[in-house]
Amino acid sequence: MREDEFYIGYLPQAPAGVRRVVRRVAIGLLTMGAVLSVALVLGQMPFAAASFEYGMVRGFDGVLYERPFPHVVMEDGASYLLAGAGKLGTREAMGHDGRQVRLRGSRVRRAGMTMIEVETGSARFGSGHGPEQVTVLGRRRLRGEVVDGKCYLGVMNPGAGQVHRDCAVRCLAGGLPALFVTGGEVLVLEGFDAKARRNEVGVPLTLEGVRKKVGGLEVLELTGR
Amino acid sequence: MSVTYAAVQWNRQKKLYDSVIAGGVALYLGRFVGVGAMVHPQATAETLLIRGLGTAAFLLLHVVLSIGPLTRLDRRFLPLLYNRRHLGVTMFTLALGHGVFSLVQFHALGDVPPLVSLLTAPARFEQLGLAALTILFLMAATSHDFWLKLLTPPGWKRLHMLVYLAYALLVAHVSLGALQSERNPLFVGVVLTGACVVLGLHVAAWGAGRGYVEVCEVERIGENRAVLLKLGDEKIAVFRHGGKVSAISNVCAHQGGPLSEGKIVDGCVTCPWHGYQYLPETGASPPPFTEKVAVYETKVEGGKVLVSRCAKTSSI
Amino acid sequence: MQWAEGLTTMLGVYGAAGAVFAALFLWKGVAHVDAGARGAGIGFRAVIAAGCVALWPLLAAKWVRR
Repeated sequence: MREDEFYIGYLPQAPAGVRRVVRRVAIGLLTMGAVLSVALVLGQMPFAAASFEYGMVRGFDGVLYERPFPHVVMEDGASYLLAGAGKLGTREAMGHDGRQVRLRGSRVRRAGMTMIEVETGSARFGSGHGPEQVTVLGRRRLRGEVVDGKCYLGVMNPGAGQVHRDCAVRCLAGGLPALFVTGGEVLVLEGFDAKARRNEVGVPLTLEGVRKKVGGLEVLELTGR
Repeated sequence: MSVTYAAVQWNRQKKLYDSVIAGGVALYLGRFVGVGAMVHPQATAETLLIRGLGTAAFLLLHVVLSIGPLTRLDRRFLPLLYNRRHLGVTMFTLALGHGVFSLVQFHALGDVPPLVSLLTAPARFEQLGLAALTILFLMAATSHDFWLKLLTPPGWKRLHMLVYLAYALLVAHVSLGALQSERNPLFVGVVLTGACVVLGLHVAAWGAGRGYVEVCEVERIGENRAVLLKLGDEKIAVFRHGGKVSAISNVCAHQGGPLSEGKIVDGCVTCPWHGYQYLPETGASPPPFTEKVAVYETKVEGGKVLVSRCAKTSSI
Repeated sequence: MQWAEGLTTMLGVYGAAGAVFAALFLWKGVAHVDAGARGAGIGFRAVIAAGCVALWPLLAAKWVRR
């Protein structure tokens, strides 16, 4: 740059020396943006194999259970958890514990677990059915993370960890089923008070309770802290 | 330099500047979401957009913060400063997109209104992001010259200096949020490198500002007399006496008389107005007097007198 | 939770008042507060609108004083 070069923004052209420097800076920044955009996108943690069939509505037939958390036992014996729209639990199950049901909704699936986002008002109820089979497997003390079932199973990806934490708190406060993600398996939590224990959601945690099998679902019933 | 305000006083340089910003941002987002969708087919579009917008805004903030010190280090960078407010508004727009998408994704359709959910959320990093976004909003909203005049330049400057608070909040937002979930050291590396660049440039520019400024040839100053040096708002009297050069504030502590028009008498700088005296090396009046004026470092190199930009001791 | 609801309600009221004020201010007031805005176009008004909503008490004070 010659010493007498002086930049004035409103003139159509910058002095040659200034132009050269600014062009280099612009090319440098654009290159850095190109490298970083790819590096950051590739450097992210892997995304889980989970899916939400958004907008794809199917019909489901089975027996509905309201407690300990809303779920449907299908004719083939598989148990599907139920969720409402958005970050709310479903109200379709209220007062219909143990009855035959036909409902419509979209599937959320991850690693062998399925949840149905129930279309509001779609449930039609039939005759009553017997109580569900519960097998008690004994007391357990496990380390893991409390998440909401809907996001974790595929509505959001990632649906666990620090960045998702506040969303999990909202979803659990809205009445969605809580899951406990341990190193080995994913358990449905029974008796987790989502509002009182909101600070324990989405962080590493030790829980103690009774390990059960409720229909086709692996469950941890919390019996004390 | 216009009578009536316009939305933007467009000219060729600004159009060029804005085209580069728009093109750069579009390329960044396009690549982030495009490559992301290819290599992470399980990721939803919302997640990729939230991450793309957030990283773009955060990276761009580093560019915005680096321009100021760069221009002080080398004035060839001045064109980057010329339209910096457009860069700032672009950065805010990206950050707003990140914030709105995140608010909808993580807080909407629940049992309480989204903003209530965000304010009471336990993970805390999101509130830090909201605080930073509020500052960036106030800055973007007041970026027009209308606000510069309304808030007065010092008031406007004070408001816009909050960008450093916003940057600190965002480093905390990223560290307590994304960096807790993303285990790849690349992310910590980028945040740390960015902080080092911003901090390093500011320290370097501050150091350069503290350097010396050339006054004149030694012979131009008469024995026991001074020349006046103006450094921005400061006026400095540079004296030559007995083979030495000293520099003190030009303003007499008594009634503000011009010390550079005075003379060294009996080893003391003597004010032309009322004869108040100061020792040229310390700026202090000889005992028992207690007046004092600021003193500046001096040196002579190649026959030229150099004076430091910052005072060594201040007036009392 | 209650403080957050109170705060968001207050923000909503402040913002709504700001929006009403900004509409009036951009129509009539801005030229009184700053002569440079006289004859300025819709683009200028659009660019300063968000700030007018956010900082309306400050502008209101300036407008009243003129």
